[in-house]
Amino acid sequence: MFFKFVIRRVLFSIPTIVGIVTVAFLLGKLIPGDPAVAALGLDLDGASTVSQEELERVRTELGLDRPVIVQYMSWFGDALQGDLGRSSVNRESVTALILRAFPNTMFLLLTTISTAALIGISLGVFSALHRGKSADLVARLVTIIGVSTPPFWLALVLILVFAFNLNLFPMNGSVAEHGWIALVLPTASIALQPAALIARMSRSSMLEVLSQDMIRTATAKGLSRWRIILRHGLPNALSPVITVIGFQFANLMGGAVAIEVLFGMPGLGSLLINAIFENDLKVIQGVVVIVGITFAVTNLAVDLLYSVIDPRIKL
Amino acid sequence: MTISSTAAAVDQSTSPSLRSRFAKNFARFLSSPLNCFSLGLTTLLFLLALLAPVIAPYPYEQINPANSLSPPTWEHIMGTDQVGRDIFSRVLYGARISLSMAVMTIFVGLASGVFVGAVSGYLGGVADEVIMRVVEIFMSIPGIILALALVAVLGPSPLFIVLALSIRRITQFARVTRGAVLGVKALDYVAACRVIGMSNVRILFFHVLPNCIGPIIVLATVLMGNVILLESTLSFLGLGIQEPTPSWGTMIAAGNELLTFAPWLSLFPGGFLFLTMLAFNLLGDGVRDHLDPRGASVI
Amino acid sequence: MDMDKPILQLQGLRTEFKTGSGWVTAVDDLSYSVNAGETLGIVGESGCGKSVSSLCVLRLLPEPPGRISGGEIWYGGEDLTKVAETRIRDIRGNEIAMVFQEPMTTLNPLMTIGTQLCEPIMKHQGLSRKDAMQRAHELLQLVRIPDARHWLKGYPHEMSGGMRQRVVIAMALACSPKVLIADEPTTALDVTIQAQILALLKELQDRLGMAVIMVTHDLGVIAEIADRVVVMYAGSKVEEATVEDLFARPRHPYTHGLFRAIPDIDSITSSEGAPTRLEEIPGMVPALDAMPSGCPFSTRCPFVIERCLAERPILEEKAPGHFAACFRELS
Repeated sequence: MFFKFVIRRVLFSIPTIVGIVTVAFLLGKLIPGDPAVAALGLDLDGASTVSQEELERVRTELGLDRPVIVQYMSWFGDALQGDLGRSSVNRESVTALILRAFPNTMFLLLTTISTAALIGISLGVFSALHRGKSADLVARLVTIIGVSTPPFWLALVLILVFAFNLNLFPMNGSVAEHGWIALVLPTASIALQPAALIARMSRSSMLEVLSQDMIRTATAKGLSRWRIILRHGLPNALSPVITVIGFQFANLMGGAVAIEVLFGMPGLGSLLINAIFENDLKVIQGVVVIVGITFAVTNLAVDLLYSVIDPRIKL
Repeated sequence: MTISSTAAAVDQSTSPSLRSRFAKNFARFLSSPLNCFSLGLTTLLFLLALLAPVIAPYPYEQINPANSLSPPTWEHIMGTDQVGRDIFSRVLYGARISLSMAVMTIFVGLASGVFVGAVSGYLGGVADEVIMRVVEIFMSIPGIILALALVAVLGPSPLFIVLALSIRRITQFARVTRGAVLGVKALDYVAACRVIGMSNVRILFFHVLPNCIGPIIVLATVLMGNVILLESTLSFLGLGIQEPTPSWGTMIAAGNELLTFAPWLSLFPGGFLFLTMLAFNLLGDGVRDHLDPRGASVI
Repeated sequence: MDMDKPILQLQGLRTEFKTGSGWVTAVDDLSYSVNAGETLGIVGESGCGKSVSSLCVLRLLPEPPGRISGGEIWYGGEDLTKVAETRIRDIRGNEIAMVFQEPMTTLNPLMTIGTQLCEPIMKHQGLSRKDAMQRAHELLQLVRIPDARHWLKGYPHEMSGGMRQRVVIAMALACSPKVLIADEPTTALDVTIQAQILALLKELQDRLGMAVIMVTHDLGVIAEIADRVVVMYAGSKVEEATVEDLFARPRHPYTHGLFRAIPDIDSITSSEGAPTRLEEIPGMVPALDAMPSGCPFSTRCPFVIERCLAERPILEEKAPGHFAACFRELS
C-alpha cells in the first residue's frame, strides 16, 4: 500500500518535472544574439573574431540548425536518459559535474535543515508555552531578527568573529580539508532564517493545538505537563511545521548558493555561479533541472511524512 | 430584499464608505506600538532613499585615493572604501537602488500575478488547471536560482533584474489571488450580480477583486523584505547592480575581500540591509495580523 | 457505601473571566454537593456557568482568561482549589474523572484508542503497558464496544460519534473514579445514541457505585438519570430539589419556563384540535457584564414584581429539601 502511494505520488509529480525540464530548455532560447557565439563563450564583440565555418560547426554540434521542436525533443530525450549535455568550458559531462557537486550541497542542506528544525521547533514550543510572558516576547524577537538577517552578511560577521578573531573555526567550508568542523559556520549562517520561520510556525500551530478539546481530555486524565505537551500537543502541531520545513529545505538550495561561494565549498551553488561567469549554458540548465527535481522529491518526502504522522491521511 | 436590490446595494457599497473604513482600519492598525515603529522605520528608510542626494555628504562616486580605507571618522561616519568613496553616501544611494528595485518587482509581480490568479480562479476549469500547473513549475525552482539563471542569460541590467525577480512573485501573487477569488466567488452576492446580468469582467474586477484585497496587501508587504534580500544576494554574487552604481550587495561583496582589515566596508551596508529587512518583516507581520488574523496565507 | 455523606462539595464557588473591559463573573457563589452513588443533575441554558463550574472541580478552567476567585471545593478533607498541582494531577482521571461534550474532538486523532486508554491506567495504577492494555480491553468491553481487541489498535477517526463517546467514558472509568463529571455527554449525539449512552452511564454507575454529576441543558436527560437537580441561571443556582419534586412542582419561574419549552407528546397529539404551541422563555440571558441589580431573571420573568428589580432573592427552602431563589410562591 505504501509502495502504491509512492508510485502514485511520483506519477503525480511528473508533469512538474517535465515543466522544469522545459523551463530549462527555454532558458537557453532566451539568450539574446547568436547562441552559437554564446556557446563559444564569447560576447557580441567577440563574434567577429570567429570564422563562419567554426560557427557552423558549433551550430550543427548543438543542433541549432534543426527546428526548435526537434531541438526540444532531443534535449528532452537526452535529459530523460540522464544526459544533460557537455560543459562548453571543459567539455565535461554536465551530469558528472552535477553528481560530483550534489552530495556536497545535500550534506550542507541536511545538516542545516536538521539544525534549523531542532532549534525552530524547540523555540516555537517554548514560546507557545509561555505565551504573552516575557520569555515569549524574547523568543519572538529572536525569531524576527532571525528572519531579517541576510545569510551572506551573517556569514561574513561569523567569519570575522569566530574564524578570524577567535580562531575557533576554519574560514573555508571544505570538509575534506578541515573535517566536519568546517560545516559549523556555513550551517549557522543559513540555518538562522529557516529556524526562525520554523519557530514561528511551531508557535502558532502549538497554540492552536493547545486550545483544542483533546488537550483538556489529556489533562483530565491526570497526565504530566510534559507528557501532554510532547505526546499529545506536539505531534498534532507538527503537520504545518513539516510543510514549512519542506518548503524551507527547497528554499535553502537557493540560500546555499551565496554561502557555498563565500566558504569556497564545491557544491551546486559554486557550480552554478562559475557556470554563469563562464557563460556555460548547459551547466546552468543542468543545475536548474536538478534543483527542480530535488524540490519535487522534497515535496514527495513531505507528503510521505504526513502519512507517517497522521493515520487519517489515507495512503 | 430582492436579489437585484442586493446587487445594487453591493454596487454602491464599495464607494462611499471606503475612505472612512480605511481611516478606521488604519487607526486600528496604528494602535499597536510595534506597528507604529515598523511603519515609522519603513517610512524613514523610504525618505532616506528619496532624499539621498540632499542628505549624502559626498557624491556616491567621488573618489579620494588619498583617504582610502579610512575607518569611521567624523568626516566619514562609516569610513571610506578602497578608492576613498564615502560609505555613508553610498549606503544612502544603495537604499535608493534596493527600495526602488523591490517596489518595481513587487509592482510587476502584483499587477501580473493578480490578473493571472483572478482570471484563473474566476474561470476555473481547464484554464485554471493549466495556469496553476505552470505556476507550480515556477514555484519549484528557488527564487534566487531562477533569478540567477535568468540574469545569466539576459544580462544584469536593472530591467532584467526586476524581470528576473518578478517571475516568482507573479506566481506567488497568482496563487494567493486565486485562492481569495475562489472564496469570494462562492458568496451569494456574486450570484446576485450574475442574476442581474452583469458582465463577467465587471463582476470580477469591480465586485470580486476588491474583496480579495486583504491577502494581496499582506503578501505584498511580506514580500518586500524577501525581494530586497534577493536583489542584494544577486548583487553580492556579482550578478545584480553593477559598479559604480552603489548597491548594498555589491558593497558587502567588495568588503568581503578586506573583511579582516576593514570590516566597516561590509558591516555598515549589511547593517542597513538587516534594518530594512527587519522593518519590512515587522510591517508585514503587523499587516498580516491586522488583515488576516488566522494567518491563512502561508507563502 | 455511605449515601448521605457528600463526597464532593462546592461552597460559594466564584469564577471570573477577563474581558476587554475587566473581569466579569461567570459563576457567582455556587454551592452544591453530591453524595456517593448519587447522580446530581445540573441544568441550565448555555452560558449559565454550569460547564465552567464543573471544569473548576478538576481545575481545568483555562487560566487565563478564567480564574477561580473565591469559594472552596471540598473532596475528602481537601480543598481542590488549593491543593498542589501534583496532587490535583493524581486526582484527575483517578479519583475524579470527566467526560466531555464533543466526542469528535476530545480524543487525540494521532494515537490509538488502546494507547489513549492505557495512559491514565499506567499513570495512576502503575501498571505495565501489557497489563494496562489488558485493562483497556476490559474497559472497551465494559462500555460495550464490539470487537474490542481490534479497536485497541484503531484510531478515533475510524469510529462513529457514539463509539467515540463510549471510548471517552471508558477512559474516564479507567481507574474506577469515585466521582464522574459528565459535561453534556450526549448533546453532540443522535437521539437513539443518546439514549444508549445514558442507559450505559446509569448501568455503570449502579455497578461501580460512583457519584455522577451530569451537566446538561436537556431536562429529558435529567429526568432519565438524575436523583437530585440543581438549576442554574446566569451563573447562580436558582433552584434545587429532588428530581421528583422538581418535575412535580418547579418553584422558580425559570425552571417553570424550561418545562414549558419542552414539547409534550400528549398535548401535540391530543384530539382537541390544533396542537399547542411550544412556549419559549422571552428575551435573552443578560450579558455577564450587564447583570440587573435585582434578580438576574427579572428581565425575562413573567411573574416579576417591584421587589425583584431592587433586591436579589436568596435561596430559601420552600418545601422540605426544595430550594428556590424567588420572592414569589408559584403554584
